[in-house]
Parts: sequence; C-alpha cells; structure tokens
Amino acid sequence: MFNLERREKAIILFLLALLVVGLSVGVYQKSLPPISVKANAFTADSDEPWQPKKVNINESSLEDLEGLKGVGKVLAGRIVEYRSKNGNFRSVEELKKVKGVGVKLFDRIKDKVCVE
Amino acid sequence: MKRPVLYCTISFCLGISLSYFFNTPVTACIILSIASIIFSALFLKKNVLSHVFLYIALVAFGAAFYGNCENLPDNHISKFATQEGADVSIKGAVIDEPVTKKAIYGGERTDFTMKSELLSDDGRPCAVTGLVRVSLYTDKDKAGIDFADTIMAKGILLKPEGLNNPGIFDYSRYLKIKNIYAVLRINGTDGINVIKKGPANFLLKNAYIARQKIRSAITSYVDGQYQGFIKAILIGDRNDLDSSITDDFVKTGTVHVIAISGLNIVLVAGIFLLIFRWIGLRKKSSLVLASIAIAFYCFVAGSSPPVVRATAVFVISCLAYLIDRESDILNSLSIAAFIILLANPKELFDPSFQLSFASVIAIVLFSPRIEEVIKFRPEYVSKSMSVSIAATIGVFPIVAKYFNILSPIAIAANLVIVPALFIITVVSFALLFLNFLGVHFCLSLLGALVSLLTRVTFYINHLFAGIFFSHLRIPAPSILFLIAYYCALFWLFFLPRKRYLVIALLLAANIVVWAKFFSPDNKLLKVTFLDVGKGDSSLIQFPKKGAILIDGGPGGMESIADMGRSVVGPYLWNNGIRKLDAVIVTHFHEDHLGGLLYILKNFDVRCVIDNGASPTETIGLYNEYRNIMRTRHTRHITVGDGDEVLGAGNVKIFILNPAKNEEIQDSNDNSIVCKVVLGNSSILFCGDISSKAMSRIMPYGEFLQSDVVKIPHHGGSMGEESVAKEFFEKLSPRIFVISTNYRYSLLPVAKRSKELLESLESDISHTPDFILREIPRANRMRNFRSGERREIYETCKDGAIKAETDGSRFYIEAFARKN
Repeated sequence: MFNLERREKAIILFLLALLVVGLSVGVYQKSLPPISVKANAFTADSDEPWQPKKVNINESSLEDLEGLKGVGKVLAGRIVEYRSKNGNFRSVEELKKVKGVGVKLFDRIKDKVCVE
Repeated sequence: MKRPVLYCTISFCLGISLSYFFNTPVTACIILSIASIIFSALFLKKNVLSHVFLYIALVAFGAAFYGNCENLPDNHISKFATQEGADVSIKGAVIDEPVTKKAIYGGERTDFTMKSELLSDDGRPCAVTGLVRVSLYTDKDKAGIDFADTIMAKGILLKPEGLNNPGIFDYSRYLKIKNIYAVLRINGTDGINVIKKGPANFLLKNAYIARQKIRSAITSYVDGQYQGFIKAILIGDRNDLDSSITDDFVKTGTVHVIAISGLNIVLVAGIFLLIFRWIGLRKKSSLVLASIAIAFYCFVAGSSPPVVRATAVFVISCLAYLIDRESDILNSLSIAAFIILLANPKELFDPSFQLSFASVIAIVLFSPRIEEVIKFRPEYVSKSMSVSIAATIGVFPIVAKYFNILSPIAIAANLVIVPALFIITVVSFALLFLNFLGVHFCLSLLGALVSLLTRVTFYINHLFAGIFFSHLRIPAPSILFLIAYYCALFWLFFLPRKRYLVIALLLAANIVVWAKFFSPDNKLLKVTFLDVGKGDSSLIQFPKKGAILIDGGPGGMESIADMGRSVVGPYLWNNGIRKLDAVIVTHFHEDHLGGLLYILKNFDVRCVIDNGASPTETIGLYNEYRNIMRTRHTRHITVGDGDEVLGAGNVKIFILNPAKNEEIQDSNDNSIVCKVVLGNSSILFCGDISSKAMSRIMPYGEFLQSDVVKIPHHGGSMGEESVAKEFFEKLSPRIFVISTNYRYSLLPVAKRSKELLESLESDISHTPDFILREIPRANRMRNFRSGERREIYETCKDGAIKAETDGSRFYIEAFARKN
C-alpha cells in the first residue's frame, strides 16, 4: 500500500519500538499499590476535651454577644444597656437580672461566659 | 476556482471564531471589511488577488457580524436581569412549546421561551426586546398557556446561572447560543395572565395542530415505553425519552437517530419523493412538492435548529437541481451554512451544528475513497459501511469533546440501526396517514408493529452497547489535536506520499507519550473543587499517578439534575481518569452522596471510604449505594479520627473526624474531616461539620493549621459562632473555598458565616507562596496576581477552583472569576 523503502521501514520500526517502550513505562508508573488505612497513626496534642474561649460579658461587643446561642440582637442590646447603666457585671449570675434572660437560657450560656 | 461558496463560508466561519475567541473590535473589522472589498474590486482582473481580498473581507465581516450580535441594545431584557433577581411583569409571546417536567424539589415545572415586548418593574412599563426563558413552577394545563399565546408574566427576572467547570456543559452558555440572556422564575399560576390565545399565522397554526394530532396518535396507538422514541424521531420531542435508552444510543454511536436531524429529514423526504414518483409525477414536480412538504414538516417538528438546518440543505439542493446547476452537495451545504449563520452566528458553537456539518462533509469527501479500498459484494453493504466509517472518523473529535466517548462499534451499529429507523419511520407514517384519513381499520395493528420494531431496535442496540470494547471513554481533545487530526485526515485522503504521514503520526505519538515524563505537572498535587451547585465534590490528583474523589455533589437515581452524570463524570473523563484509587464519602446526605452513585457505576473505583454510620434520613440513596458496592464488589473501608490513609506516594492523608469506637449516627457532625499534606503545603476538607465537631477536633492544636480550607456546610450554619471563629483562627489558612450555589449564598445565614470568615483576626504566618491565576468571566484571559491577604473563593461566583502545589508553592486557579 505504501511501497516503503528499506530506510523508511527502519525508521518506522524504530519509532514503533520507542512508542511501545514509552507506553509500557507509562503503564508501569501508573500502577499504584492499593489504598490502605493505618489505624491510630497519630494522636491529638492533649486528651483533655477542648473548651472554647469564654465570652467576657463586660467587654465583648454586640456582635460577639449575638454569637452566643440563644442570644439575639435584642437581648445582646439589653445586656450592653445593662452594663452601661449599672456598671460591669460582678458575677455571671448577675446576667439573670437582665430582662429576657430566663433560667433556661442562663443554664445554657453560663459555661460560655465570664466576667473577667 | 471550483466551489467559491465553500471558501466564502469557511472565511465567514473563521471570522466568527476569531471574534468569539479574541473579542476583535467591531469598528476595525467593519473598516477592514469595506477596504478589502474595494481592493477586491480594484484587482478584479487579477483573479487570485481579487479572491484573496474577498475572503479577507468575509473574515472581517464575520468578526464584525458576531461582535455586533454580542452588543445588546439598551432596552434588551438582559439589562434588567440581575443575579439577586428583580420582581417584574413582562408582556410577550410564547415562542415554543411549553414542556412540563418534574421539578428538582418535588412538584412540577413548565419551561418555555418568551419573546418580550413590555416590561414593568414598579414604575411605568417600557418597551423591551429579547428572549426570556421562563420556568413556571406548575404544569402548563393548570396555567392554561400554549404555543404562540400572548401572555403577561409576573415573576423574578434573573441572569441565567450555569455551572462553571472547565470543559463541561454550562447552561448559561447553552442559553446564550439560543440568544437567551435572561430567565424568569414564576411560582404558581397566579403569575400568568393569558392576554390573547393561539397563533395568528395560518401556517404555524396548522403545523401546530398537526403536531398535536401526531402526538395524540402516538399516545393512543404505540405502547407506553416506546412512545418517547417515536415522538423523538417524528416530531423532535425528546422529553419522554428514557435516559438509559439515550445512553445506549450514545454508546453505540447512533445518537443521531434520536436527535431529530439530517437523517430523519432525509428519510421523510425520501418517503415523500417515493410517494410522488409512485403516483406518476415527473421528477422536477415531485422535487418541488417534496420541498414544500418538508418545509411544512419542519414546522411540525418544532423547527428546532437541527431540523431547520437539514431542511435548508434539502431545499437548496433541490433548487440547485431545478435551475439545472450541476448539483454539488458541498456547495449546497455551504450556502445553507452561510444562511443559518447569518440568522444566528452563535450556532457555529452549537454541538449539533458542528456534528451535522462535520458528518455530512466527511461522508461527501471520504466515503467514495473508503469504498474504493474496502470494495466487496453485496455492493450496498460496502457502500453503507463506507458511509458509516466516513461519518465516524469525521465526527470523532467532536463526539469526544462533547460526549467523551469513542465508539468503534458505530460502524457496525449504524448498518443495522439506520435501516431499522427507516422502517420504523415508514410504518409510523403509514399509521399517521391512516389516522389522518380517519380510517381506524388496522391502526392498533400498525401501532403494535411500531412498538415491536422499536423494541427490537432497542434490544439490538443494547446488545451492541454491551459488546466488549464497543466504546471507550476518552478525554476531550485539545484544539491542537483537533487541527492535527483533520490535517492528517486530509493528507490521508487527498495528498500523495502517505508513507510520510505514517512517520509523522508515529513521531507525534512518541512526542505525546514521552513528553508526559518530563512535564512539570508530575510534581504537583492537584485539588479541584468542582462547581456542583449546593453540594460538594473535590477531586485530588496525586503527583504522577492516582486520584481520589471526595463526594460527588447532588444527584441520585431519580434526580433530574445528577451532578455525577453531568459534571463529575465528564470532568474525570476529560482529564483522562477512568480509575479512582478511592472515593471518600464524607457523610450520606444527598448533596454529597447523590452524584457519587453514577461514578461508582461507571468508573473503576478501587475502594470506598466512609464513616460507617447508618443513616436515618436518606435511606433510599444509601441502600442504592450499598447495592452498587455489593454488585460491583467494591472494597469498603471505614475510618475514624487518628487514621492515616496510605498508598498515595509522598502525599499524606490524615483523618480527623468522626470519633472512633463510638456508635455514630449519620449527621453533619460525623462527616469525615481529612487533611491532605504534601511537603509544607496542606489542604483541609471539613465535610459539613459544625461547632460541635469543631470543638471535638480542636485538641489537635497546631496540627490543624492548613493553607487551603474547604469551608463546612456550603458556607451555611456553623453552629456556635464563637467556637467556629476560634476554629478557623486556629486553621489560619490563606484560602477559603465555599462550595455552594448562588441562591444559597444569598441566605442570611450564609452571609453571616461569610462575615465571620472575613472578621478573623489571626495572621497567616506559616503559609507557602501563593500565585493566583484567575480567568475572569468577562474576557476569558488569564490574570496572575500574588497578594498577601486572605481570600474567600465561592464556586457559585468563581466556578471550579483548582489548587495545585509542589509542596512549597501554591497555584490557585479560579475558572470563572467574577469581579
């Protein structure tokens, strides 16, 4: 079909061989060992459960107070209002005096707030 | 020169492409065009020079013409559309048939296109132009709308939002090709007021009636599961076609059968010609009548672009014959292409345009030469075989680009399926004709015959699709490959010294194979966060070899928007990935697991890693997932905190969540959280965890620091914000990635989370170098920058996001950055 000369035949054979070598190296490289899992390969720095930083109700801004679960915009405003009127909170319990902070809400947030 | 129109059309197409890819300035193109025409006229005596200038003029004209199409007028409807959506009322005409489908989140949805006339937001109505795609969240009978009604629609006008992933179908681009730049969303029937019923135009009216009659005839006489196929081949209505049937046709390379196309039109034209000749008309008069009949049929078939295209080619060929021109199919094709592109130059980028013209041109040019080589008896077999081979090699790169498939079986399959299609078409036409005449005799018999033939066709096709090596999944070809391929084809068929072609091809193959070993990509760890709407899907490619997929986006068996089928699968094939070393399912919610089912079924997945929970919410999906793993014998591994995934070479993968040795439920907080590390670079995938899990993994301390972090829960609710804030400050990454869609990112909770991310106080101290490559949507040209700030990338705004690292330096690429 192509009427190849001797030299052309040699070139074609050489290129074919090169291609086959390249392809097989590629296939060989692609073969990965299967994925496996090594259990307990690393551990945490400490065994203690981590506690989030407490929100200082005397210093934190409106936004940070809002970040507390259960405290909305209005309530955060009242807390700020309370401390500007009556001075800083002396204890966490004093929060209960703010209008709108019930027993339920207080129980939920008492571990997450501090006064100093 | 022979075939002057062919060269003219090629020049015109070239001009359109230039403008499309390089945004050529319109005014300059117009001036160049006029100047070239003048030169062409001046050199009229010098034939070659005159021609050259004429072609240059056409190139410039094409560029200017396309550029002009992109410049929308000030009162175009798209100028009122925004990302957030605006409340408006639009008056206009329905210009296509409303189609009702199941909506993603239950209920029904009706889609149609509307030509806008008047628009009013709060104030006075103003005149507008342009098309709007309307999605009405109810079915069309309830709303009482039909084709060609004039209606008043009240809803939310939006810019079309597609998914932006490199090389993957994008809905907004698809609409753009159809000249649609705005979508209107209407909830319920209250938003629709029909002002005027029905088409005024006599022709349209009758075509529409005929279409409805054909449809009702098919529904009453053909068996349920075959109706979709018959509707598709007769009136181009593909809505009832099952996706598994379509898949079979794609696999065997016979999809042109169901995409009503040139083939169907030729068959119908053949039937008409046979009838006219049979009743004793002369050749010319039967051609004229057939042209008229086909033109009417084109309206009946919904006059979609492929039908219009085929009709134009047929009518022009008939005309050429009638005026006693030497009928040259290439010339007729060129004229048809020119006219179609003058009407809408964007069609040049429509896959179906490219497929139909490439296949016809290939058949005309190559099939006679192939026939010389493979000649055997009976002659009609060798003839149709050479047509089939010619079409297959002609459209191969285009099919590869849009379907990622190569079907050697197509050569054999077409020999069977195309005659079958012809027989089915003839019998169906007989059925319709008798039904039209009101003869009810033997109609149900014919209907049963059609069903039987269709069933046999499906069966044979399914057999073909199942043959080993019948089809291969291949990457989309690059532009360079495309050019080289067509040059090689041209050489093979029309140039002498084919032995040099063999040497050249071998040389090219060697270069491609050996270049891979020396490419710098070999050292890179690549992570791609795909744009799958509100859902997660990230692909990790290790240096040199191996890949892991984390989640597959929304989807599932019943879903109409399966990301596995439409985004993740094609993306993997495009990148030459047919084998995944592992698939990680962070948790079993629909927006993470859904799209994975398609991947598990269609790819060679070596193992699946999940958290071992037993879900209570998405049980159907989960059972399907377990079923697929069981039938395909996929290895299943359960992991928990403290585990390390081995086998990824020098890349390390650490699992930080969920808690181990605990009975766990399927919930966001039990998502797998993993950290991928190469050298000094690290990427953290957070699944969908909230503050509860965040405080659980906080004890890992310094180890949590990462350079790139995928934000949990699509940037939505994070739980307790103080915890989330401290968590992210601990991570202190340079890049945040949020995988979400536009609608979700506008919710108050998502906005609040984003504010939290922006307000972080910690420094970025430990990070390697960052280079940001961004491809703005506006001009598609790459931007490079390197900043020091922390950045947030969102898939809805920035498209797919790719993070590449060699262990000391990061390259971040946003595929469609919106500024």
